Amino acid sequence: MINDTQKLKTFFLSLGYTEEEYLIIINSLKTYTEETLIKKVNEIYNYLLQDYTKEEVIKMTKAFPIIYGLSIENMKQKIEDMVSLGYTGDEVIKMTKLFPGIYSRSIETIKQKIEDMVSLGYKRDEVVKIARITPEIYGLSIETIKQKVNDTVSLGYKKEEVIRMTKIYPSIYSHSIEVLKQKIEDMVSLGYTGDEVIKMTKLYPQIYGLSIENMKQKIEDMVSLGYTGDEVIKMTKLFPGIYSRSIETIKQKIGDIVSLGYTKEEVIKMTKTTPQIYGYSIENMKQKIEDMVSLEYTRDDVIKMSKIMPGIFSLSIETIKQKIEDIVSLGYTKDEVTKMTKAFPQIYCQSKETMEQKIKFYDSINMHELPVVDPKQLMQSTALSYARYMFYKEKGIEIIMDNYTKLFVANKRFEKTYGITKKELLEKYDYEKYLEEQQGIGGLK
Amino acid sequence: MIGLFELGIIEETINNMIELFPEIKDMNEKDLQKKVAILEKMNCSKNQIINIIGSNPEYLTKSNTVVLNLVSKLIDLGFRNLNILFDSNPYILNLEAFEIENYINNRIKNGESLEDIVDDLDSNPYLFSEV
Repeated sequence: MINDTQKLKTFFLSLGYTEEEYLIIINSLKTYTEETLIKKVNEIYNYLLQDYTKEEVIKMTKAFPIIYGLSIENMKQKIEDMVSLGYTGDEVIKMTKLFPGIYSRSIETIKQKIEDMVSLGYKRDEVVKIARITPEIYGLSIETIKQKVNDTVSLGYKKEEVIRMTKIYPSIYSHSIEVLKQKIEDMVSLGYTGDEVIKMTKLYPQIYGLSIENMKQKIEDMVSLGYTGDEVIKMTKLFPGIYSRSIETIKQKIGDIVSLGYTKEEVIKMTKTTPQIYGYSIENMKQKIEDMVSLEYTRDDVIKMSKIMPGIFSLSIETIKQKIEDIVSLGYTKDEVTKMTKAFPQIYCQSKETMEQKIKFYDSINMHELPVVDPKQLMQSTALSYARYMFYKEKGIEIIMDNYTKLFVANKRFEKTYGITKKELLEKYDYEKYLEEQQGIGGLK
Repeated sequence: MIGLFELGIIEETINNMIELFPEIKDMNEKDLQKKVAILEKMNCSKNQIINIIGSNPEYLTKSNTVVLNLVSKLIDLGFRNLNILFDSNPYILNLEAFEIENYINNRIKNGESLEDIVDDLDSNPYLFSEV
């Protein structure tokens, strides 16, 4: 049995260990004689130096002194075993730097760990991928992993969500539940609600890896670009990925978008409502503009439309084509649809049901051309348009295209002129009741 | 997602909603019911709820607390018939109370009265895009 001898100590100190580290190591390897241990340590130490730096070797062996009890053949075999699981040799070296315990696990143990993870809802490939980033999972018992999943679920996630989050950001397994709770509290102190933090981390679990100082700095950086703090908080709720972009990347993205034909102020305004723009590549945005140009818009039209409705960049060209077809099927030409959407691009965000309901209503009162002449008015709730139309009709005022603006006058003016409040009007001419009566009957006249 | 079909939203619209906000696919029924309940509290009809959710899927991703704060702010400012307002411009629901407040304060600073601003926004709901 080994003793703490001066010779041994001098030997370890000469390798770069501190006295404390030396004691940790020899306490774990007491079964060796002094001579055998010096020989083994010398052998393994020099072998490890082929792939690791001196500091890495010291760090690894301090954490797992048992490495010095292994044979070189055994270690080489372990790397081969890991390669057979789907890793490259370099990846295994990288993984062992983070979790040297891999050298002391048998291939059967690791395979069993993969099976355990599969039973939790991962695919085999996903486990291999997760361990590439967080090799520590090969050292956790299935009970510990289940406990970590359950702890994370207790924060407000579903089990499937936790599994999905760990696929995106495996390091969640390295954080204790206290660390996760603290991060949620930190974010609440920044201005998010607890629910919002949960939602954000579902979308972007990497947030758990950011320090609160880092997040505060990002908010300040964004404020320096022209947003207010509240706006940044709001934007990150929709697109938490902002936190992972450097200020230089964001400035570069703004510059790229400006080069497409916007001013910096317009980019700031657009990204306030659609921060997802920061996640699009400039090529993707250029392509979207090209796609729209292929639909008979000019480039200037597209730029103008996207200033009003930046969400257009979030729609696929197939969806846009489908929307055009949907409106054409309601009795408009493609040119008319182009005209309508140029003036009121929000049409592309309206659901098919909404468009049908509105257009059918204006068709029923012989105002089919209204969406082409003044598409912006499509925004007014059909319930209000119906109530006003019926009110005028009862008063003997016929609403036609020549006086259609009567349907859209300001509320205060309408109330003052006709002595009826909006509430009274909506109650008297109930659109829902009308719809029920109209089921199966066409037309309003 | 079944809840969206049950609500009466058609498949094409649901696909468009998921294209914009893929997380909607995994939204649980209870959360959807809460979102619908908020709109029902505003007296929204079934048709209006379909219009609002189908045209503005972002609403489904918002925190209920934030939405309720917005609703309180709108009521405090003098907006009435919120069902009509949201049916006209469902994207208003994506705003936060502080944005409405800042926008109105700016206009008040320019000499307009709160009553006139509210009437202007209520009569021309597309103006909310300026907020």
